[in-house]
Amino acid sequence: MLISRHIVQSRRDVLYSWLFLIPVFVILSITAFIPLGFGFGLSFFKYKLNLQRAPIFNGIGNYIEIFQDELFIDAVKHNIFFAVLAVSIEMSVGIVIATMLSDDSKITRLLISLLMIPMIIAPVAAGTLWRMMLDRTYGIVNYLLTLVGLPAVSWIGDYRIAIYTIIFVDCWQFIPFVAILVLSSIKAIPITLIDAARVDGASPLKVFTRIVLPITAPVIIIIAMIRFMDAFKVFDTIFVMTQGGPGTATEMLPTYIYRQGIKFLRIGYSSAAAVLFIISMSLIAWGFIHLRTKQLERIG
Amino acid sequence: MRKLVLIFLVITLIMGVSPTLFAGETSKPYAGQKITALYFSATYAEAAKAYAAEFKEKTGIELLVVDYPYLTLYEKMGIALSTSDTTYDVVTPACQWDGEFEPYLIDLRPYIERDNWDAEDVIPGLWEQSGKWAGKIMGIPFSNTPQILAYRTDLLKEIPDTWDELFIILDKVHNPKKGVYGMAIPGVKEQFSGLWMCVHWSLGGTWADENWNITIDSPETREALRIVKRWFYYSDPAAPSWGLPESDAAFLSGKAAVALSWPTLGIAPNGDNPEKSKVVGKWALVPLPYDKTGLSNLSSWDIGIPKAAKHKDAAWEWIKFYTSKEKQFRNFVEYSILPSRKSVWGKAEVKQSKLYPHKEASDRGALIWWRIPAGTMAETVIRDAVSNFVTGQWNMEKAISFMEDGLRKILSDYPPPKGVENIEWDFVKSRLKK
Repeated sequence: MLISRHIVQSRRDVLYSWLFLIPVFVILSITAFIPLGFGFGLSFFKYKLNLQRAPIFNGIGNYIEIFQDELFIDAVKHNIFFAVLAVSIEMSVGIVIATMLSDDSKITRLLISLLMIPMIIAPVAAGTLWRMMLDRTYGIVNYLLTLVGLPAVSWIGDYRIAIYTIIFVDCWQFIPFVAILVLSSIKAIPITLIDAARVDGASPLKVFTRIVLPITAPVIIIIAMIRFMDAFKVFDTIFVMTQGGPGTATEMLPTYIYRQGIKFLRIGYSSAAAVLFIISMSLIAWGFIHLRTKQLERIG
Repeated sequence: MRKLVLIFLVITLIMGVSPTLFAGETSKPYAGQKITALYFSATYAEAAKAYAAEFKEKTGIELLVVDYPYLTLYEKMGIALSTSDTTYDVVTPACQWDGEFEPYLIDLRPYIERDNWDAEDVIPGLWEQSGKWAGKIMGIPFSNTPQILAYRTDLLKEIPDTWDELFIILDKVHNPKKGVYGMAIPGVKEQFSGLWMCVHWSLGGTWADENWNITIDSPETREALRIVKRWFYYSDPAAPSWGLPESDAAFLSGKAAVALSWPTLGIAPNGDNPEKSKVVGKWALVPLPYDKTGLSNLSSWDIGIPKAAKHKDAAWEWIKFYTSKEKQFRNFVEYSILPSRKSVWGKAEVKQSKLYPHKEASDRGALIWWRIPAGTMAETVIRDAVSNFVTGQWNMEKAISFMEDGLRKILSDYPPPKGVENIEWDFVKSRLKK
């Protein structure tokens, strides 16, 4: 139910509203705004932490250097490719699974419990597990492939395949996440709507496309936004499985920023890269929210 | 009255005993202090942990050893040192990090002179690459390991002087259908780049001249790239994703004729253990093919004291203890840690050990890459270029161009301190003349 934006509030109510928000702003300032502002400020300085000299102001020099760094450009391309493909697969498969599990049988409930297992494994543990299983010579995946007469594959050693392997691991871990959230949204649809459609002769596909999907669209958009932002921030899986390799084939923005800031101690430069990263993520989030608002207006 | 006599006797007893009780404690001026040492998670940390109890008994100082894998050790140490974190009283930087961490470590010279520490026992030339930087002694080297190779004595008679000759020999033993490969190599880029450097230097190649003018675009660089790419022909197809443990495991399980590795970490401790090796009694170590200079890559660790350390004197006691002749010998025998002391290398047990070929490699010459404040960045440029080339993502010209541009930019942005010359140039060129 939409709440009207035109509720008349007394001045006292407005004052109390702001008073209650002050603690939140204080905490956010300390934990987010001040560090962000500090990082933004650092991004205009040439500052390597292990050189005992004061930071040198160089304006937008760091930003110019970033866009001239071919490894940064490659990392951006890899990141976008990874996020778009991984999230597309996760959303598609997750919605299908959610639809299949939308009844309330015992088997369904058991399957949902099993489905949650990949979700609760830490990404570092998942990456380590899959790295061992996907080893070209000693991994169980290639062992099973060769058992059925298929050739062994260099899943993380071949630069053409490595990024797809990372995508697969990410999908394995987060399709359940999407499925369970979409499932809860599907279960919130009044059953009378679906019954009425069936009585009118609608096929299951039509019920899904004309009723289920439009009603759950706003939630699906939010889930997609969350997954896209998480996928864009991927670090653990890359670090554990490939370290950005083979070569720089799976280098992503987070691993690039990590390398510049933590390994090279180039605080100013990595802050600039981080600022660009935050701006991109904010734009992406704004896009999704705008899409969701439009969807809500269509429904509402 | 009886009570008074009893109390008098007890007091007398305590006063009589207490001098003997506390006599030992005056020789332990730092007793009760706790120090924390940061180590690389390998045999070095294992040895330190094993000695902690003995150290405490001897000095009264309690030692806590914190260790991290190589991949994360640099950043843990770097961040702790550059933020003046007081957590660590002792740190063990790899020699290639000396230029980056020197500003944060104290000069040990006053301690060395005060206690007359036997500095002359350190292998000549080692300190200049590991522990000394810009006129300061920031660390004492405690492990001196040139990169060498392990080979199967039942499959190969000897290792020739050039890589192309070795390839001819490997052609005879390389038999993937029977599960035996010519070589086991760690293909992950952080290990592989060091191997490329060995070949590059052995061919007479350098990154820059003595005045830091970039010289990497050279025939030697091209030849080194060609050679390392050929290694993968003789390797298990999984090698590009292998780290040292996987590569060593392949050799120990009998699946490779030659292993390019740091044998002290995995092959030497386990090679003759029937529970962990299928090549018991069938392996040996030998320096890498000599080619033109015989140079190899150096892995050396030094031990020093951060400026922010809370217990510097106690830390120095640990350093003396851990780097003593006795402990370096025990490190060698029990943990395969190669000594930095000439006297330990001279012991009969060391000379008869399977690890002794490291001495020959060390005598030929082992080199570390640039130990400048931007050393890690420079090594990463090489690493990315070599890895992208051998995996087929870049052609040779692109790889070399990337190296050249990257190194030039690094030296421009972060020039080496004044007075610091590029010893790589001297090392390589002096050996080319021989």
